[in-house]
Amino acid sequence: MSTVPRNSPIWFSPSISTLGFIRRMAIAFGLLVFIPLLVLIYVYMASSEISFPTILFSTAITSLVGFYVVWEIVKRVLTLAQDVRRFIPATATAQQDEGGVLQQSFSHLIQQMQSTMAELEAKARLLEETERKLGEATVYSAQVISSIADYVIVTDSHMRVRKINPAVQTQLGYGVDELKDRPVETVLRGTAGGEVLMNQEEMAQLTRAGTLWGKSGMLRSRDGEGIPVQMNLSLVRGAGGDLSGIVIVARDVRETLRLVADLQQAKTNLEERVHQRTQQIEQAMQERERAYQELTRKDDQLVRQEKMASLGQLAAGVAHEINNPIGFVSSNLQMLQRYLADLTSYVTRTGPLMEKLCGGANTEALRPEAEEVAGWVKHVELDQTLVDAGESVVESIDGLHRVKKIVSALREFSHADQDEPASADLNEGLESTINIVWNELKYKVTLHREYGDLPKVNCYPHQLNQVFMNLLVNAAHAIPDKGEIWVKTWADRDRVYVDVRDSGAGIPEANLSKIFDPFFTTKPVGQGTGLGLSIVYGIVERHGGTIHVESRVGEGTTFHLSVPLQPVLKAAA
Amino acid sequence: MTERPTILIVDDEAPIRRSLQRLFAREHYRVLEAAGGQEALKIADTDAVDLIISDYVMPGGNGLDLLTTMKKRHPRVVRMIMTGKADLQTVITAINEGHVYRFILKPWDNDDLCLSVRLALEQATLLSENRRLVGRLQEQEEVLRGLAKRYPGITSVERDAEGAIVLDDPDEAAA
Repeated sequence: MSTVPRNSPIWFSPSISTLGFIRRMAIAFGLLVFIPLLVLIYVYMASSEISFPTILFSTAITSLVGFYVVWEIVKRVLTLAQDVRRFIPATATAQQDEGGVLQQSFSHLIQQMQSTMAELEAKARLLEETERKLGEATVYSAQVISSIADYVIVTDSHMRVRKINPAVQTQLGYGVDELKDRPVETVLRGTAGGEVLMNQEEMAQLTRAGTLWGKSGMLRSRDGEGIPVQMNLSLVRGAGGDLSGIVIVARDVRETLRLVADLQQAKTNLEERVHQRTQQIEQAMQERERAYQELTRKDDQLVRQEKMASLGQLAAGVAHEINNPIGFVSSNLQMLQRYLADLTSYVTRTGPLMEKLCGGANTEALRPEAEEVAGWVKHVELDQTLVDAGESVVESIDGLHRVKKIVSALREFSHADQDEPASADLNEGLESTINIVWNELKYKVTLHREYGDLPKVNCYPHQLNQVFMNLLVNAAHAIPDKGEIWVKTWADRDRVYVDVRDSGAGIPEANLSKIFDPFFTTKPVGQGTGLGLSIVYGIVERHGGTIHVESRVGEGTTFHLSVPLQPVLKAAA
Repeated sequence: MTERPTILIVDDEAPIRRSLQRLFAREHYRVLEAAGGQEALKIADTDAVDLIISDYVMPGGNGLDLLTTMKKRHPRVVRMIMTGKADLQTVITAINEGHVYRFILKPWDNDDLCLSVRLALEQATLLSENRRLVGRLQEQEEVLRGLAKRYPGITSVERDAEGAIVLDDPDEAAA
């Protein structure tokens, strides 16, 4: 609307009041001089019959009237402009006269009116929307309340029923308006035999907190049936904050109560059963304890049996080992008996000859006798007898030494049970054990010994020998035809290590974890007790040592054994 | 048997071979030694062996296998087995499979062993003598049968009531 450019350059820029005054003066002068003059001229020209003083007078009146009118108009416009100026920003009117101000102001007002209109329209739409939503919400709430299976009862401030939801109608059998304005106690009470819905205390709590949750109560159907319920009560307040009623949502708890009762029953039953089971378990535990003790006794027995069995197994091997040397030694001794007989015979024959010779007999006279003896010597091959006798003695001594070694090693083993802790060189123990089991090894095994320098170990030496024996015999048994066994020992500052490795069949991975278990055996029934390695484990544990196994099927098995130099020895089994 | 019988001793333990060698040499046998089965078979293939005494448990095959092979290759060699580790099963197997003449336990008694060897060799000698004689008998019977064909009645003798031999008189027959 406004055509005046607000920021156009202005050549003269006095204060707005000065400008306004000059303008007003100009307008007033124009009106005072030109309008009466024009009227005068017009009247004169229109009628010359009118006298001049009349004209002058009328002109003056007209001017005065005109001036007054103009003055009034200007005054009002000014006042208006002044008023308008208050509503519009000062910057927008700073350099404008009242006309501009007015023009500006009107356009501003129109703008404002337009935006106000737009705002109003928006608000109206919002209101409409809100109303719609409210309507929807009301319907929604009504639907929700209708669809609630719980019983909803709304009362007024005097506890008279105002509204009920369909559940109350359908489930309890009351008509739509049957309960309206009746006391709520008609349908709902605090307890089965009670007269009221809430006691003083509950009432106080509801009033104070606005809600009362989880209160139990008793609904009464139209037929007089009592229905236990649990309810939530909420106060409803009006716009002014004063009490307008109570909303009660009550839930049928018959099912819950039944469940609780069932649970209670189940719990009781369960407790009964737990009690019974506890007794059974206690009984079983006692039996188990007895069985365990018996088993422990049997276990000891079995361990002893295993020792005997392994000893018996050894005995056969040892018998062979001993029977070989005993065989040739006894044969040699029998031969020596014969050699001795020959030599005795020789001495008997040469004795008289010697005596005669010493007695100064003629050697020629003795010749036939001497030749006879010489012939006999040649006949019985006495020179060969001497050679044989010498060999027999040497070989017999060797043989007896072998027997002695085996027997002493065996004795060590047979005394393993009465083992006393002692300081022992494990290399020696290994050697003596190898002697015993040599028969198991020598025909199929190439034995490699890699003995390191070992400090003495405080241990039960015979028990460790049994460990070595079991490991060596196992290694030999793992070798089906021919193979190798490596025995390696070494030590560091506080432990001694023994590795027994074989090139045998190896242990399948599935069995690796079980090999130290008692009675685990892969040997055919009757050939192994399955206790060998469990005994090994027990002995190693008694020494505070470690044993573990590494094996690959088809490549062989290694047992890694380590024993501390100063073990805290546990009592022997 | 004119020449000395030969005994082959098989054992992996030298002292045992030596003591047996000394024993049998003194009994005037010819004694050969082998430390294992292969060696023993080689000797038996090239030399005349009359009797073999083998250890049971030896590296490189047990004595029973050796004796079983010996029985096939040289059935007339008398087989004996010797062991320090004897259970009934071993003995039964040895006798059934190896057809051994004698099962000797270590330690052994020299006299018993010598007696066994002598008896075994005598039996073997008798057997072969028997075989030889049966063979000669068969030969002679063949000859006799041939003669009887050519001269019927030549192989039979007639006797009269008093038991006197009746000689055929060609003149009487002609008359």
